Amino acid sequence: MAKHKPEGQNEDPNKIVGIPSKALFIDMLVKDLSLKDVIGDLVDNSVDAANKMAAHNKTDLSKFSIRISFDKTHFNITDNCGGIEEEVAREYAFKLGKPKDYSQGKHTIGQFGIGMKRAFFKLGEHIVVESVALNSDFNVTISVKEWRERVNEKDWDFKFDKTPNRKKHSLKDTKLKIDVTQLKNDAKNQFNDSQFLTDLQNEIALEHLFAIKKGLKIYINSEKPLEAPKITLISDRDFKPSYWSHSFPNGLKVEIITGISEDKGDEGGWYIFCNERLILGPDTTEVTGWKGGKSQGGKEGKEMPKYHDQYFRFRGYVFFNADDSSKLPWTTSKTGIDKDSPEYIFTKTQMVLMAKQVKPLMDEIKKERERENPTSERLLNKKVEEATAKSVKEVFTVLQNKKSLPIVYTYPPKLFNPAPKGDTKISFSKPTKEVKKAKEYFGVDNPHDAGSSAFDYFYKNEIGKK
Amino acid sequence: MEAEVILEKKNFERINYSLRPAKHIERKMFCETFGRLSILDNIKNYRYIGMGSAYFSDYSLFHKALGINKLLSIEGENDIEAKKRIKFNKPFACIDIEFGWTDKILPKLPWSKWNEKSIVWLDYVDKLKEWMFSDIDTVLFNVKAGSVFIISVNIEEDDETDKKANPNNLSSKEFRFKMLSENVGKESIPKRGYEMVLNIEDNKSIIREIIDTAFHSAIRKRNSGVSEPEKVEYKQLFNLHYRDSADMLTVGGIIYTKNQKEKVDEMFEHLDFIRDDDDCFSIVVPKLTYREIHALDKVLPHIRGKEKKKGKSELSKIPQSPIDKKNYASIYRYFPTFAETNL
Repeated sequence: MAKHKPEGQNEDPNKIVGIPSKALFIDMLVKDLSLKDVIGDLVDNSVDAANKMAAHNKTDLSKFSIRISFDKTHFNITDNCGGIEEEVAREYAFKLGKPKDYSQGKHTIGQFGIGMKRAFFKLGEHIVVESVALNSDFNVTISVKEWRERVNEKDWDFKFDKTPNRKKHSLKDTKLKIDVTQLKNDAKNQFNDSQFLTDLQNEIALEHLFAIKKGLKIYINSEKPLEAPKITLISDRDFKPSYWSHSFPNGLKVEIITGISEDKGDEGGWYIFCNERLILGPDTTEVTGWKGGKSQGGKEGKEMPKYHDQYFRFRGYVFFNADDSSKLPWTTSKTGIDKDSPEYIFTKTQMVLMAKQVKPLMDEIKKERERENPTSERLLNKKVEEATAKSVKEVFTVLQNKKSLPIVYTYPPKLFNPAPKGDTKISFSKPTKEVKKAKEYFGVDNPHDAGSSAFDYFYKNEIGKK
Repeated sequence: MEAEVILEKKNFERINYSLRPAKHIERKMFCETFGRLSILDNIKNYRYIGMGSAYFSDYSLFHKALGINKLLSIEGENDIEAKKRIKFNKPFACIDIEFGWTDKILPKLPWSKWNEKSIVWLDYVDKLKEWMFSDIDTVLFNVKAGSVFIISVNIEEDDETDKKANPNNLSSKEFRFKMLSENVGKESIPKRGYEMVLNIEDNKSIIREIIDTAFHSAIRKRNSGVSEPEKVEYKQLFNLHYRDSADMLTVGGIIYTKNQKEKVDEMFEHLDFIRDDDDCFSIVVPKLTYREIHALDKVLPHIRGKEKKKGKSELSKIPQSPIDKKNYASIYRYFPTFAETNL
């Protein structure tokens, strides 16, 4: 039997080709991502850059801005967050996937080294990147078609338009500008849809509410920067959110704060942040324990019941933080939690536990309203309403005093005052003079008994006789 | 009307807990086992958490016999009258009472503030239900290593002749499987359960396995967030079956770290009722007269050599069935004697 001889003389006879094809990156890896996800990736990179540039004063990002504009023919994102240095571009930034020896810095939200590239491929065919960094500036133009169709399949490299300038720039002059034209059909369609714009604005505002609160300005097809939505908790003497924190052996840290806030269905649930970027939320699904189950004598399910109006007031906030972002329990699209990661499994057990501490309050609020219990008798509801009017606070404010927060959620359970089973409470007002006479008539000393006796008298004589 | 009144009776009004002999024996077995915990830590550094009812029998025993002086009772009876009775019946000042169901109370206990290890006995009157898994998670996620966790559930066979529960006249096997699925969720039933007729014998085995799986799953969750030395293992100590008025199964054990393993491996030696597997220890209470008890006690325990022979011949003189004698021998140290008194 003749030995098979490989074509190249110097090739290892045992070699099996394993390098990926460009189509994997251009067509496949972007399939599971939405347009919003990839735009989110680009914003993440800018936010990371802003945080890095603000190194000394991480709480103030007011010098930085990100501007996004798009229509059916183009997409543009421009920031003033430091640009990309020439050497970073040359070795890392355009490489598909993060080289194992490259660190993007501490506490970042970019992790996988694919965000920018997959955004290119998802958005369009013609991309121009213009960077002005502190020590260099350059332009790169990419034609996806040309890159894909190169004769040498192993030629994956991109090229600077001309040799980069090694020139100093002040921070305020830095920029990274990405222009995409020859849009993909997906992008063409959606960029024309005003609902897409609204959704994107809301999503980015929520995802980056931390950065926005620190002063970062994000503009999306508008001259008005996005406003950070408020995430809130009721916190006062009567209703004290519970706080818990834990450090994992791998360096990941987690903090949880739970409680109630306004009775709003679309705001209730769990919010999970990774390195200050919202990854999930408000979530009201099984992922965060709203699993439901058979009601068994008023007790239900292994975790929490299914989310419904009774639990609209619930708020739970989870903050994962890690210097090394690869330790964060998120998915590569950053739109979800890695449910199977040990750290999340551990954290979720605690989340369910803390939600169960708040659950009795929400159950009691509902029970107190049942059986036509008059408003004046709903003492716990009354207290909650009062607190809703005056004690709804931003989570960040509440967290400033986290050391003083209890480990178990507290509320005034003694106020709980439901109507007795089988009875319906009636309350009404009558002229004081008349009530006094009724009291005398029935020989009782309080208006409650007079009212009750009057009802009994009526019932016995009018209904009881029938 | 009368029937309704009886149904509405509280648990403690239906059964006088202290008079149930098998339960009594179980309690004493626990007491002896808990005594061994002093090998790990001073027993005073343990907190007992249970469901005391109005009798607090376990509380009295564990406080008096072991000196545990941090005790917490979770009491499901919630109306004012029942609360008053339960508070009145609290035998010692060191017992705290929390009113509410376990699924509400357990999550709000200040576990992380407590320095003590725990002995938690959730003695449910009910069958194993899905919501109990949540209690299992809460306890095993929070107790310190070296703690003991036990649950007791009803394992009576479901009655397919109950027209109300079985309107479609399912066969006994189908009906019992349906009830089990409704109780614990179908996904929690091991595949071998699908083939079973789910009589008491089957229930002993399958319910233990479901509880055991739930325990291990809770331990996995706990271990997924902590460093190696803090990781815990679970060793089953109890797999007990008994019947006073209903067939009950008790499953539980100790959780411990690698550091404690050596001690834990040895500390429960020579306790015959300890079971770390599927082989269930049945507490069967023979009906004996005091005279018979005294006669049997005289020849117990079975000693080796000459004494043994002598003992055997003495034993044969006692006119009792060999099975009763054997059952008595397995529990005689915990056998209760009830007498009428006027305290």
